[in-house]
Amino acid sequence: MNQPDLLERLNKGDTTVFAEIVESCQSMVYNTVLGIVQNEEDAEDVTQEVFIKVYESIEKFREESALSTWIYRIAVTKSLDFLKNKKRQKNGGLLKRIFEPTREDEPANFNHPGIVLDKKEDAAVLFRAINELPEKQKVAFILHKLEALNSQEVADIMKITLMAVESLLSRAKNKLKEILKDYYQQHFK
Amino acid sequence: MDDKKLDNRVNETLNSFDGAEKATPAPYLLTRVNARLQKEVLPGFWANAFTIFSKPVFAIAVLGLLILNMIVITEKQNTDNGASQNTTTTKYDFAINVSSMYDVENQ
Repeated sequence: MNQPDLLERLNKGDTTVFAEIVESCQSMVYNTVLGIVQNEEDAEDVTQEVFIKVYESIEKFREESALSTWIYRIAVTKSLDFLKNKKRQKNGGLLKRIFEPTREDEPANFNHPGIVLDKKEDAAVLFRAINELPEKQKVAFILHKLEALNSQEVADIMKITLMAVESLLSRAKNKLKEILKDYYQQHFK
Repeated sequence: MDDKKLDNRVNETLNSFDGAEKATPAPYLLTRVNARLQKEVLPGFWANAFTIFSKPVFAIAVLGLLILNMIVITEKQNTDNGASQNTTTTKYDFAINVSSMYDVENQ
């Protein structure tokens, strides 16, 4: 995707530009969203919302960053907003909490469709552990490990320094190690 | 599970994303996005109306209007009662409730 060309065409009112953006970025958006929300149906929904947002604000896009970085940023924000709304809906309502106290305690195992078959079980455990990370650590880890972006790219998306990304990744790994150790000690004595 | 085995297991799990392929959305994403855009960009009369009606300002305004209406009706009723009493008295004083001379004699 040639960014200057796309933006020039967009300024000229070329309506096919949006279709090209969707076609070329759908996998990157869906994969990122799926890593964060960990549910295929929800990820489909959030991916659509991301492209609607792209459509609505593409004219406001300034070329301060790459188009892909900007779209990644929207994908991350939309995914986190979705999780917050979901959590709010789950916690909302006193009666719901009284009658369904255990439903949110045990999240379902998530199997990412792109993970190699012999690593699926381990990946499901890792996804579960990732859910226990603080928001920023979770995003940095997903972008770095699942989207295979380097630290600088993650820094650009999260609008933080390279040092801050390195620190987030290091803390995420340490925390995940702790969580996984506890998990395996409990389940495989 | 001894410590070494545990560490290996943890590291294996941490590296389980290695070699993962990117997940792709279901086909025809663009069509679905376009359909949703049409729905959201052109929400129609009722959706617009609902947006206005669901605002708290609108509810407060309606409530205020109802209260004002009730005050006016109550005030009017009180005034009407007083006025009708006066009218009845005047009516008898001047005998304007009779339609003919025979009625005057009958009264």
